[in-house]
Amino acid sequence: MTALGPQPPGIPVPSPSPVSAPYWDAAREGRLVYQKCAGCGHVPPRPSRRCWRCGGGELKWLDSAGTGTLHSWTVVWRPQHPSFVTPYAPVVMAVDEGWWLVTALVGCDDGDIREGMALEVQFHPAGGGIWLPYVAPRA
Amino acid sequence: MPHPYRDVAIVGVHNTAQGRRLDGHDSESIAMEGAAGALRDAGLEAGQVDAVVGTFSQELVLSFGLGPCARVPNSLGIPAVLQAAQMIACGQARVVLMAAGGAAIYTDRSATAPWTRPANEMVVGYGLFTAAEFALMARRHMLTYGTTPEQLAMVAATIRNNAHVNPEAVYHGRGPFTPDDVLASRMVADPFHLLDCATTSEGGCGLVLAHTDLLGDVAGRPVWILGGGSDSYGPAYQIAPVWEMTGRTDEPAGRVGANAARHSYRQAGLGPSDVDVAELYDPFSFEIIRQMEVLGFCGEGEGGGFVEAGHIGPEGRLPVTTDGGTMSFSHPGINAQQLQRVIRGVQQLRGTCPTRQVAGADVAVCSNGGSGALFTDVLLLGSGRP
Repeated sequence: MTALGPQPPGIPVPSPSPVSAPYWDAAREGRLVYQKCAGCGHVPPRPSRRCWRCGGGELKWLDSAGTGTLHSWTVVWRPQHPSFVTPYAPVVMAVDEGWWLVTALVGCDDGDIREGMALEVQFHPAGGGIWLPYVAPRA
Repeated sequence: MPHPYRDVAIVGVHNTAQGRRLDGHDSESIAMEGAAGALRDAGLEAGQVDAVVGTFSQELVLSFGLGPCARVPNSLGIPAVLQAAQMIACGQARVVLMAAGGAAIYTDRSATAPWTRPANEMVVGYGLFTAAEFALMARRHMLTYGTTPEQLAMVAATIRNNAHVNPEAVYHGRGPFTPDDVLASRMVADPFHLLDCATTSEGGCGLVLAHTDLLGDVAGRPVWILGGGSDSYGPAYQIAPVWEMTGRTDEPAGRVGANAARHSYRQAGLGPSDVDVAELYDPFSFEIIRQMEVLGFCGEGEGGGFVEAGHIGPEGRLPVTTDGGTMSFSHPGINAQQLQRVIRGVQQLRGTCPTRQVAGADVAVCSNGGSGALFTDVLLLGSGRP
């Protein structure tokens, strides 16, 4: 059993694009945001200018409650890059608003991971002015 | 209506030496060796080549003095083979040369291989790489259908043992492996142990396709394209790899390749029971279990039981990845490792595999990609003209 925590600064960090900047700006303020198509309600899997489902161009940024359940996970022992502290646990959270977030699980031991466990988002600085959304078990 | 690939034959294939390191080579130089070997195998002259497809296409034109020559850069693996076949079928080309290779690109061994960790802003901060992406898909299958680590290990042991006996494999003589050996190897990305994962290596390869008018010039036995298709659910390694994600149909991303397989069988006028050997892309052990299902060899969720029953072994109903695959034959970078599935399929149908030759193999299915990459390509090859 090993405790899972956020990565210390020094890991490779995202370079926001003009399309994704609102996502990372919000993360820096401690908010998880997502886009929803005004036309069909679809949530695109990553920041976009056009809806992936209907092609509509009106995607609104919305605040997420940051809560959801654990959909899938892995525990990594061989890091992608030596700057990562192992083990770390990439996960997919099924977000309560009906979209999927790829993130990493913190705040529990690797042996405590269970399908469907209730999660909530928290933010940690990754360096370079980037704050990463992580998820932790909900009390 | 005649079969669209009736006048197209795969006439030359070649793998260069494969190894953990190939001293003195870079990716281009080893790819050019692959192309030269494929031309030699075909018995054709460089001067007969009028089109090149895929990686290093422009370098091929220069290195072999092919100009003026048609080229389609940037396509990979099975889609590139299909592109080459279509160029011949529609009369744009008569002889198409393809080359791929990787060498001297994996130099920082403290990180995973460069081609396993494409940088993208939505995943880079979480340390995702191919093993983790495929693990997120495998986990869903394990949760939904009860697929076990032991079943995954059985896949890995089977394929690694195919390399163990193959003198051309990077990991020749390194086994034999039992499923327990796989389970005892160190964990990389749960549920994948080290031996559940592809290796990394260096090597090159080449293919030549030609119009049937040229078969009189060709040295070896031609192999035929009976059907092929390609499924994608979006850019690989950039978004959460979610099994249940859907696009224009109800078929989930976890079943990527099922649509391509149905198309391929339809085009061939064949079904899964006609396939003699499966040269499948094996980046991670689980992917073979999933591909058994999407290629129609068993029902949804039955892939674990299918491999546990021994069907994919050399004496089984459907021998899989008979050279040792990306796990143990070679994994030299994005295009070569994909084309090598096709090359092995050709060798099986020619009956020229020095090891693990499937006696009398007439139909081979080859695949590329996998669920964690959100794409799967399918190619059906035959020993007889369609």
